[in-house]
This record gives sequence, structure tokens and C-alpha cells, in this order.
Amino acid sequence: MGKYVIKRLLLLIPILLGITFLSFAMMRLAGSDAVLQQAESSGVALSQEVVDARREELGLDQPFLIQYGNWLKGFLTGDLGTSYVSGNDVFATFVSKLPATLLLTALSVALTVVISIPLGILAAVRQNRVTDYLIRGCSFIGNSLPNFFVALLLMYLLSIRFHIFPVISDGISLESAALPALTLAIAMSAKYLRQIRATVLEELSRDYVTGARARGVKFSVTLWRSVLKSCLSTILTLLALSVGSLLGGTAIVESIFMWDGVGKMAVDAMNMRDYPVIQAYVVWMAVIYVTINLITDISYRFLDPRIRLGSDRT
Amino acid sequence: MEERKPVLEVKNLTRVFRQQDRAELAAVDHISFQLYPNEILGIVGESGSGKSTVARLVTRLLDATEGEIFFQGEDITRLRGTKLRKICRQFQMVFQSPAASFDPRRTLGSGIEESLRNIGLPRGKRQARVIELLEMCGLPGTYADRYPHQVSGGQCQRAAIARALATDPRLLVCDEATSALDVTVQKQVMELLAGLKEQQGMSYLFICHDLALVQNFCDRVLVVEKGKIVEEGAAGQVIRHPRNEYTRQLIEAVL
Repeated sequence: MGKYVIKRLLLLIPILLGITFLSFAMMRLAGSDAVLQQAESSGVALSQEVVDARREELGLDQPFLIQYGNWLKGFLTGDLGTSYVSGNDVFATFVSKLPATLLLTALSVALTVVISIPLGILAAVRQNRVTDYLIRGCSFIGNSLPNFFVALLLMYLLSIRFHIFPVISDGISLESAALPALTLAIAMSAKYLRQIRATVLEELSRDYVTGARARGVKFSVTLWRSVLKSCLSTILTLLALSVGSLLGGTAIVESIFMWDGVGKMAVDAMNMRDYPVIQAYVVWMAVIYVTINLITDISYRFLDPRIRLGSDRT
Repeated sequence: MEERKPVLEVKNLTRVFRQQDRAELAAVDHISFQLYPNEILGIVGESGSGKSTVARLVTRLLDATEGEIFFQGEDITRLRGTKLRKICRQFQMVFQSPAASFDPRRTLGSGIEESLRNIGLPRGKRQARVIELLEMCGLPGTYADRYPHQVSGGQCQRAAIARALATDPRLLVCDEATSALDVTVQKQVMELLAGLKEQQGMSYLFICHDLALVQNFCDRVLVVEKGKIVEEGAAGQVIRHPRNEYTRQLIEAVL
């Protein structure tokens, strides 16, 4: 087990090298220049000399590989550089945006779990009855509505009509996080509950469920003790995927609600060709995905004895 | 034997399934039979003849379209809820695929324990009873901690039988219980079942397509074709001197 974890963590090294190099290369291939971009957005016309000087200052005049090498050197010594735009330390900026994203992630995942699991199970148990159709209908609608539309709808209803939540965030608080989290949770729940319904239905058709019924075991006992366990690995797989993208920030929702998280930071950085910030973001994403996949794979072992113990015989 | 009261009596049992094209199919068509205490009644027939449906109707996994089922004199055809669950303890079922009949995420022991808890045995006594049941079925008590995928098919079926015995049933319905096992293991499981019958005083409804097995093991046999009983009699008699054309075909198919 320990060996396995170490092996997986070592795998992080080539992944990080590959992904940072790729993103570095792609930003340079994109064509536009960081200095010009900045000048354009501030509306100042710069002379060639100033542009060149600024390039030299940022090290952008050097060959691509050397630029990457310099960045890597900094990265290894724990220095992610300074932002081209704000001039602040990238790492510090990043850390300051993190709490907002973490809060939003935790809240929306919690909401998703609370909404999707009961509804998914209910739909499966009441298969092809009114309740099932109703839940599936809602899931269909939830899947079809784009995020930004749901966001605006919620804003209109809950903020403008009924004044329950603030329209845009006023700092990092549970109250401000409620609407963006709900927006994200609605979309995720719609997907989750379909998966959960399918898993439960599959499990309910197994022989051992029929057998338990034949032996006079209460249906609720079978449901809680056996069938729900089967859902856990499905939910875990889904969560692993969602948490990854949520921690990476959800650019659209964060922008709509002016939620000052990692996603918004990344979008802003891309607009300004703020290379050091983008690189930091890429490293963050790589680390998240590798870590979450590792945690998920380890948890499967706890959830399913077939993976944990292997099979002596088949 | 005739003057004793039957454990199970089925009268005009019928189950109609509606197919996709809305045509109606009687999987079980007005079947009547009695099963007496300590008797083994075989039901044979080819795939799709309706023999498994009979098992599911008798154990109330399916509702009958028509007819009545009496268990120890009580009409159980329309029982529901708690009453049904109570009577369910008196008859247990052993399925064809032993591994699938256990929850893959729980140990064999916890599967058996579930049945014990279900009959209200106090927690402290369950562990000992699980081991006792496993040993009765020829498995070491340590197998309680194994998962279904860690034991062989035969061992798993023994555990399934142990679980069935947990509620001290009067009737065991074996739906192709030995069909998934290879021949030597099959023989061992049959011997186990035969021994348990004497020991526990149970009756068996033995659903099977293997005629040789039926001949050796069953007292009486019903031959089912398209949901109807076409022949009935003592096992040896029916198989050695079949009177019905369909029975003859079944026997010839084996030889």
C-alpha cells in the first residue's frame, strides 16, 4: 500500500514536467505578446524601445527553452515568479484566491450529495412510476440548462424577487457562496442522480437482492445495508471528477457572481497573457488531478473487498 | 403417504406474462400438485417450460395470476407485508448461481447473519450459530470471514444452503441449485442436501433439468411442458417408463 502511494506520487514528476512544458509552449505559440497585450488593454501606445526594454526585463527576449528553464529553476526553488500585471508574488496571489474556491467547492459538493443521492435512490425504487418520471424530468431539465442561465434565474428569483441572498458576492461568506454553489449543484445533481438511479437499478436486479426478498428480509434493510454500498463507488467516481474541475475554479459561475476564486484568476491571467500566473494555475490543476485520483483509487479498496483482497479463486 | 397433510399444496396455479407485442403467455398454466413432509418433489422440463416460474410463484417472488398456494394448510397466495415475511422463514430458496446470491461486498458470515437477525436471534448468539450452520453444511467455521469471490462455487453453494437453513425452514425450494457446479461437487452437494433433509425433516421442491439427478434424488417428479404438467409419478417410474411423448424426448435428449 505504502509502496503504491509512493509510486503514484513519483508519477507526479513526469506529469508536472510534461504539462508545464506543454502549457508554456502553447502560450508562446498563441502568438500575441504579453507586453503588447498589456499596453493595448491600458490604451497606451508604447514606443518600440519601451517594449523591448520591458521584454528584456521580463526575460521574454530569450529563446523559448531558456525561458522554460528559468521558470523551472524558480519553480524548484519555490519561486513561482511575479505577476506581469500586478507585480505581486504569484504564490501569494494564488493562496489568497484559494479559500474562496475551496468554500465554493465544499459547499456545492455537499449540496450535490444531499440532493442527488436521495432523489436517485427514490427514482430507482419507484421505477417507472410518477415519482420516477418527475425526478427524471427534472434531471433532464437540469442537464439541459446552461450554467449561466441557471445562475441568472437563481439571481432573479432568490436575490431580486425574494431578497434571500446577495446578488453578487460581498466577500467570502456562506451567504454569498449559496447562489454560486446552488448553481453548480443543480447541474451536477442532474448528472449524478441519473447515474445513481442506474446503479441502484442494476444492483436491485441482482440475485442476492431477490434472494433476500425470498428469505423475508425487509426491503429497507437490503436497501440500506447492501444496495447503498454499491452506489458509493459510483458517487466516488463522479465526485472525483467534479471536485477536480471545481477546485480548478469554475470560470463562468465565478465570473457571473463576481466570486473571487481561482477560476476567475485564471481567466483574467489568460486575457492579459500573464504567464507566471497561468503556469502556477497549470501546476495546481495537475497536482489536484493526480492527488484526487490517488485518493479515489485508495478509497475504492476500502469500499470494495473484491479490489482490496484480490481473488484467491474466481 | 396420502393420508398425511401436505406441506405445500398448489391448486390451479397460473401466471400470465404480457409480452412486448401485447400477446399473453401463460408461463405456468393451471398447475396443481402436493408436496408431503419429508418428500422430494422434482420438477423437470426444458428451458422456458415454466419450472423456474413455479419456484418464484411458490416462494411469492412473483404474484400468481390465478390459483391458490397453501403452505401447511394456510392460504399464502395473497399474503403481503409482515405476514408474508413471517411465513417466508418457513420456506427458503437456493438459487442457481451461488456467487450471485451473496452480496459481493459482504462476507458469507454476514450474509448468513442477516437471516438470523431477521428471525430475531439476539446479537450475542448469532456468531456461534453462523459457525454451527457452516459446519453443518461441511464448511469450516472460518469461512464466515470470507467473501463470495474467495471461495469456489461448491463452497459458496454450501454457504447458501447454510443461510437457507438459518431460519429452520420446513421447505427448501432448489431452483437449479446444482446446475452451475461440476459433477463431483454436484454429487457432494446432493449428498449434503439428502443428509440435511433427514436431519432437519424438510421437504424439497427440486427444480432441475438433469434427469439422472432427478432419478437418483427425487421421490416424485413432475414433467412440465409449456407451463402444463404432462406427466407425474414416482421418479424411477417416470424416467424408466415414460408414458408421455415429451418426457420421452427429454430422456432421449440426454442419452
